[in-house]
Parts: sequence; C-alpha cells; structure tokens
Amino acid sequence: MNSFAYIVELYRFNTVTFYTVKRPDGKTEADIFVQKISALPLFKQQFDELLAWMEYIGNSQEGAEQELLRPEGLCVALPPPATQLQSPIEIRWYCYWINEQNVIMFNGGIKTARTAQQCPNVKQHFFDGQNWANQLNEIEIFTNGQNISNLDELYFEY
Amino acid sequence: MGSNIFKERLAEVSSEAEEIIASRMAIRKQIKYILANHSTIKTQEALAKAMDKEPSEISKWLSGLHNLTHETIVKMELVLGQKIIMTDLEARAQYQETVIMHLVDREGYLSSIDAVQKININSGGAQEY
Repeated sequence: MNSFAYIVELYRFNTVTFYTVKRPDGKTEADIFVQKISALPLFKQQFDELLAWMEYIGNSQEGAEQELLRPEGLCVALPPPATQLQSPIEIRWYCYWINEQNVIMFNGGIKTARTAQQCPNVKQHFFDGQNWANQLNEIEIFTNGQNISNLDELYFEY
Repeated sequence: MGSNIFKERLAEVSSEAEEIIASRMAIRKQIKYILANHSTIKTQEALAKAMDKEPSEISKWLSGLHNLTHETIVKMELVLGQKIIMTDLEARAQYQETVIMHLVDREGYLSSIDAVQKININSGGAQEY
C-alpha cells in the first residue's frame, strides 16, 4: 500500500513562505533536519549563518532568487553555489524552488564526500529530493503571492 | 501554522550571524546595482573577465555566504570605478558635494562657500536638510 506525504507550511517571512513535507508518520522533513543539525555543536555557526541567510532572503524585497540556490539535479539546495568557499559549508538542505515567494524544504545533512551520491549522510535525502521534485514537477502548483493556493491537492508517494 | 521547532531554532540564531549575513547581502546588492547601471561592466561574467577571474569565483563572492576580504572589495571597486562600501564620513563628504552642486545649479546666485555655510554639515545640518 502506498503512503503519501503532504506539503505543509514551515515558516512565513515577509516575502517568502517556506513549506516542508509532512511524512505519513506526522513528522516533517524540515523539523527532522533542524533537530539533527542543531544537535551538532560543531556546525552551530554554519547553521546559524544558513538560518540568518534564510531569514534575510525571506524578508528581502527580492525574495528567494533562484541564482541563490544550489542546483542539485531535479531539486535545489542550500547553501548557495560556492564551490571554492574559504570556509566551505558542509550542510546541505535540499529543497524545491517554486518561485521567489515559495520554497519547499526537504531534508538534508552534513555532506562529507565529493558527491551527494557518495555521501552516507546525504545520499538518501538527495535521492528523496530527486524523487519528490520529479513528482512535484508533474503536479501543477498554483500560487497567489506567498501562498500555495492548491495546498490541499499537493500530496505525493512517500 | 508553521513549525515551532524551526521557529525556536531561528530565535537562537546569534545576532552576530544576522549582522554578518546582512552586511554581506548588502554588499551583494550594491555590486548588483553597480553592474545594472555600469556603462561597460554589466554582468557577473564581464566583471569576472575584467578582474581576470572565473565567473564561478564572482558567483561565489555574491552568494551572501562568502567572507569577502577588504582587499577583494577594493580590487572590485578599482575595476568598477565606484565605491562599493563607503564609511559614514565618506558618505557625508559625498552628500555635501552633491547638495552644494544641486544648490548652485538651482539657485544660481549661491556660491559654493555660501552653500557650505547654509548647510553646515559639521553641525549635523546635512541630516536635517
């Protein structure tokens, strides 16, 4: 029997609404990700900067510009593309960009290998992101400003 | 509506991280503004070429999560021929010059010295003007 996941609101800033995926067990992918990364003191500063960055773009006039998101196959990810950062950010948070006002956050982790497919921490989340993005690409998502109008219709195989 | 877990973690973000990101994003915005209005260097690719860098390097600089050095900013300013970051004193000096030019243009009879006396920048008059 197939299980289904739904899209629910994660957080609404002034310009951007971030959504996430509600699993069949009632937990959301974003909450699991936030709790997982928050439990790693070594990555507190990185995560602080990433969240501060989300808050900034979430409240900025421009919103979530697509160029600020890292292309990851069918989906995208935070942080922004920066292959040669002085202090590379190892956190990967996979997501689905709808437009500048609406972004769906999936799960992620600390990337420790050169590619996501080789990394035991993020591999599953990368593949989940590809699968969900593929399914979302097949569904018409209607938005009105920073609202997804047909939120009730947005579910997919989990 | 929304996630309390995310909300609570967001509230724990240090003000230092918020300030750092705000500052980096302000620099990004300024560079994008300069490029949009520049006579010759209009794109990140053109800026990369002018600075003899790879486009990915410029893209990295403008991500908002990269720690740009002062040296890099100065090099960009030289290539673009414009300031990206201005101190308060520099901004006041530029503002003073602009106001004087405007007054001289508008009033005609005002000499720049008269304008300086009327504006009295040093006593804070520039902010009230």
